[in-house]
Amino acid sequence: MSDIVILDYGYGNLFSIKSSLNELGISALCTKQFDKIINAKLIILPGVGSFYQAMKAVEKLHLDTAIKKALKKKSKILGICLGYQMLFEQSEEFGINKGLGLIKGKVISLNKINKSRNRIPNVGWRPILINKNNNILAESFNGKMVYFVHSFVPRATVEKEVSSFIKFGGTKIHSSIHTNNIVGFQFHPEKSGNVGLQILKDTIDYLI
Amino acid sequence: MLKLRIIPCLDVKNGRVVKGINFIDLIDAGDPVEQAKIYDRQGADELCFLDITASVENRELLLDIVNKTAKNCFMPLTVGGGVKSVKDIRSLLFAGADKVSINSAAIKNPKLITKGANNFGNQCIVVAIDAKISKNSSIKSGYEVFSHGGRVPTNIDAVDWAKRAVSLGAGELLITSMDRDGTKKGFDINLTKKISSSVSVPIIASGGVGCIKDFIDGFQEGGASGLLAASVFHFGKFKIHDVKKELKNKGLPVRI
Repeated sequence: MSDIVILDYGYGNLFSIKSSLNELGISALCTKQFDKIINAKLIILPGVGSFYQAMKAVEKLHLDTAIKKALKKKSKILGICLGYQMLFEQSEEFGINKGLGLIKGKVISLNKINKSRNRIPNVGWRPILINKNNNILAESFNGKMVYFVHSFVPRATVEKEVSSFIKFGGTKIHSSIHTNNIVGFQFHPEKSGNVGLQILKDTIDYLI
Repeated sequence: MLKLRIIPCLDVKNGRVVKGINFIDLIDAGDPVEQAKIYDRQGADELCFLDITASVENRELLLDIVNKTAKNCFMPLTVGGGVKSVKDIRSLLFAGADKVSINSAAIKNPKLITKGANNFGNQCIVVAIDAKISKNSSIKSGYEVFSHGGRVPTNIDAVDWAKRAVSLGAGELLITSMDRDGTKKGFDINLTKKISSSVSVPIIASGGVGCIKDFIDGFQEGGASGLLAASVFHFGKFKIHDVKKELKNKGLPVRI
């Protein structure tokens, strides 16, 4: 039984995540099998795509049920990019669509908060500002640059659960979260060079 | 603050880099994966692979290159060349690409942009536009779009097409000046500016970079979010980190 599974539901950058874990000497299994998921110590939820399509695929494969069952058994979950957004209650990408509802908050369009008219999608490297009270991202990551590529972003209801921010469009947006057994990153640690690899390693070390 | 991106581009033909490098040992000289690793170490902000043959057999080769690169380089990859369907986009993303660039197929079938964006989000759909100065009065901006690797004139205005591509779902535009490509005379700032001021998505400018000032102008005058270059990096005229240092000295936001 694999300790770490990467959910394979047709909308993820599975290969890039698996490669970055390989680089760190961590093995992981890409799967959509119910029993493998509910028995994993850590479930990684990747995602490149549109929220609605991705949620539909997850539900069709009953992976939403698998994730919730696993969480009850104290498994941990790590959502990346769209996978991070899917942890929340809903998204407004292509109409209002329900998410997994594991974290309180909504995914909103960057257009709505873009006072200083930054270009959207937000593509490229930005420095993250660390919330000092979080347990996952060490303060030494403050100001370190990671790679973003997204047009929507979650707004968490409970701000103390936000582990890092970035400045965007004249405001601060929630670039990562940590609450109980759930971690999410809007940026791509698997595409953010050595900084990203270190973030992945620290996160996995903390979670399992 | 968002950092400006320096993006080396690898034109791939039959699985080899063709704007080749002749300064390192022959065995790896044209190997795209080896070259990608070098650019990764030099601090490239993103890599771009363009498959310029794009036949069916070569598709497998390209997927293999993307795959091997993603295994070794933990950085963003944009891949294009011969992308015709949602299936093509999906297979590139699965191989490790983060963004997929569409050119001729989008001109022929603009719905592909929307389909791609609906499936994978508009952040991952890049529309590549090859543009050339035109004296034709029906081309109002003065720049005409060419398809099929710059071989076929389309009679489409480049600025109009840029706006339409964005409204259909493109999340980024890769603008290549055919007049400047390979000339080292600098980016076509007029073209870059016309398009960057007409749309709200990020623009990557390409074609013509020859000196450091060209990079500065591309960002400051052209309004580009990313600058793409091939030969100046392949032939070793510049190292990426040296370019970024120079840009930093001029007060431009770069990732070092």
